[in-house]
Amino acid sequence: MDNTLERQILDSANGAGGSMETSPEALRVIEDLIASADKAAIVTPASAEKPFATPEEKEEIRSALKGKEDWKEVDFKLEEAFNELKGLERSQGDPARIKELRTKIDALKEQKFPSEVRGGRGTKGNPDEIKGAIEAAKQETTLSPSSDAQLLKSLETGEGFVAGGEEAEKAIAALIEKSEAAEGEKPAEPSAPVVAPLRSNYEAAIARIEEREAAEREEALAKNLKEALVPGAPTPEPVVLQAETAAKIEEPRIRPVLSREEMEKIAAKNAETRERATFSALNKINERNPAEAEKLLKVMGPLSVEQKALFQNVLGKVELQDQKVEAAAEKKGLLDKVRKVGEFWNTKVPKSLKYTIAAGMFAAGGGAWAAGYVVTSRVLGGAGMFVTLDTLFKNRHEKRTGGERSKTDEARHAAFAGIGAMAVVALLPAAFHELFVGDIIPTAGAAAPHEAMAASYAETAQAGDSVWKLAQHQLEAHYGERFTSLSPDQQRVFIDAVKDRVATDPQHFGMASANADTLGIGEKVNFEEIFKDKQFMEDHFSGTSHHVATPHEVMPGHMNLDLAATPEGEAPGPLTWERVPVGENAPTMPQEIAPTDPGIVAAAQKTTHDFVNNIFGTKGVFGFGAQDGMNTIDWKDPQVGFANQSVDKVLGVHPSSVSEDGARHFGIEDYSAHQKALTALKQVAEDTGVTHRPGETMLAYFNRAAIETLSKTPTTLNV
Amino acid sequence: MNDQELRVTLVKELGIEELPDEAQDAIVSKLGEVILKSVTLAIFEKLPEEARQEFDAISVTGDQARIQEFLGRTVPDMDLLMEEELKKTLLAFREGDQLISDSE
Repeated sequence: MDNTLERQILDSANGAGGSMETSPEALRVIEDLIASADKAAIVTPASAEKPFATPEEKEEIRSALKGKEDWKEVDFKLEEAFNELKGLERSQGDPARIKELRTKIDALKEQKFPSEVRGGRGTKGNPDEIKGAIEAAKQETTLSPSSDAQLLKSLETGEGFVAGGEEAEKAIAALIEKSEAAEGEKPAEPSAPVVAPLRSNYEAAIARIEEREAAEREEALAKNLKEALVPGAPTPEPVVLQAETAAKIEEPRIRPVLSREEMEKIAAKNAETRERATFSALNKINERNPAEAEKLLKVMGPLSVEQKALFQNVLGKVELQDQKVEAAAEKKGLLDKVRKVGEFWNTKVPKSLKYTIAAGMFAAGGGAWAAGYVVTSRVLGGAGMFVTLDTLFKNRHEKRTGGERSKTDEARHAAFAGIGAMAVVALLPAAFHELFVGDIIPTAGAAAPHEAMAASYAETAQAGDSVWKLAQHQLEAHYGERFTSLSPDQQRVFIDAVKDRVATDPQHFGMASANADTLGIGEKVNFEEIFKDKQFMEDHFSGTSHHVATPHEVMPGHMNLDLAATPEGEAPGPLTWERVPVGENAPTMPQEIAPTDPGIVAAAQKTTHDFVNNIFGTKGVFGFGAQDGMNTIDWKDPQVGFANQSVDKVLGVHPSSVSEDGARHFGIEDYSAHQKALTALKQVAEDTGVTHRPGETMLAYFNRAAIETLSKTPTTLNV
Repeated sequence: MNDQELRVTLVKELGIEELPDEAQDAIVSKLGEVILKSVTLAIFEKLPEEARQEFDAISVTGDQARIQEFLGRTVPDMDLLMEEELKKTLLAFREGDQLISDSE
């Protein structure tokens, strides 16, 4: 088609002297003209520096086609919108306009390729355009031979109409992809078969940006990892990364290898932390049950260093975990509940049952449902709250799955129902404890073991067992704290009495041997008759059979301030948590002496003052620089001064001999002041025989010790 | 598995066979306490303040049916929650051998 003819056609279409309004020939020529224009625009939209026609010319063509070829109008609008969008995106133009154009393009595309015609006779297409598209699609291998053939056939028979608009869409989509590659924005790459409707340029652009960013992130991640793994590698320059990328990089970062010295320092700190935690745990036991603490300390005395270290390591570790749980609970406002549960566990659950339940928890936590089930159900099988929770889990399971529980589910639910029951019941008022778990857990005040108690009266001897040990186990299992709160001597007398009853006729109690001292492994002893003898049991609990302890008599032993071997004048070594139990002849806490005598009170205060002054005061030189001990920061500071610190706390802390932060410390935070305080405590305990009370401050303890001593022997402390 | 066997198994699992009974008792008791506290915390921290107050009100009555209804409504998947917490607690115990300074 030459230009002259084109011009003639346009002129004619405009009615400027022409008469070929809509003759088939004219239409064909116009179609060819526009098709070539479209092709040029679609194939290289961005690279076409000069459009195939000026806006004025396009307007002319539009006018010529007005009312006859609306689909061409769509093409024009699409091209214009597309070009404008590209321009705005490059120049980061008005976002609102960009959004508007994207919407417009989508609408035009929908108009050009209406979904309802897909797969049918469908979209009208220009033969040349479609041919070009097919050629391009062939190069991109987006069309299968069969679809290619279908298109060709439809072109031959369709007289300008394409059978199957979707096929045309595929071809054109491939074409657009190719045109974008030609723009250089993205290297040409083998296209995946285009099966979805056209992807807008916006979508394509976003996808490209995302791909590029992902590649950059991966590259940055690899770079950082590589640098982190290379020993001695220089610190990389700070890289400004997106938060997501930074998080990815931070996550796998390898910690630097510690030097031997650093490791040793941390290990020492580690041991010290656990030592403190162990002492804290022992203090808690002491506050809860002084007799138990005393008993524990007594057996710890002769242990080897390795055994003590093991004990300290494990108990300290669990205690630290306990502290973390309590800290988390406090943060969430649940400290009271959590402590209530702990108190329930420590005071209501007998020792032997603790093993059973702890083992159940341990097994359940490790996934050993069956073991957890066995032990938990054995202990809690009949308890109301256990049944309640087990039913809850069962109902939920059946509702969720529509089927019955498997054996594994049953075991799992039973284990958790048991643990949950303990937690929930612990939070109920004490009056309900027995209602829900009293069937299986004897409460401290129970007058007699409950008939339905799960713990059996029969014991099977294991290696190292004796009738005496089995009797002890039975008493702990059936009476819990009521028994363990007795003093060691009282417990011993009680156990002896039970053992003696078995010894009167061992075979009557199930033993094979007639001698209670020759208990064989696997041999059984049944204590039921003895434990159901209420008179016998109550006599021992009430003190008819032996002396019943008073609260003062179960006071714990005092701390082992093992400074005796310290050479005169040398600084004592750091103290440990070890305690020396109060022996048979050790001084026990005398009855409270009311400080009613003003003379004694005044004398005691002076004694305390002199004593503190001697410990913490300084004499100065020729009277200059002298300071009274009670006025020193070490003694009187409200935060760190020893006057207001509890003796337990003073005995439990271990301030470092080297100031870690370089600052000077005082009182309980200072090593040398702390050592002086320990010396003072040791001296008071030894000279007066008065032991401190849980939570008692140093000042109160010194005053009380002085009052009690002066009340007996009105002399001052030997300082 | 009788009580004695159970005790032996647990003590072995904890690696405290070398310690005297009293020391073992102290450790087992403490561990049980921590587990129970952890589970309690896990259950109740999921409850909003109103639900906690509701539990307090119900617990005073000791009405088992109401407690069951309350837990069923407010702590869905309580068993799964407990399972997760038990695993976490035991893992923390086992990992407690690592340097404490890591967590300080």
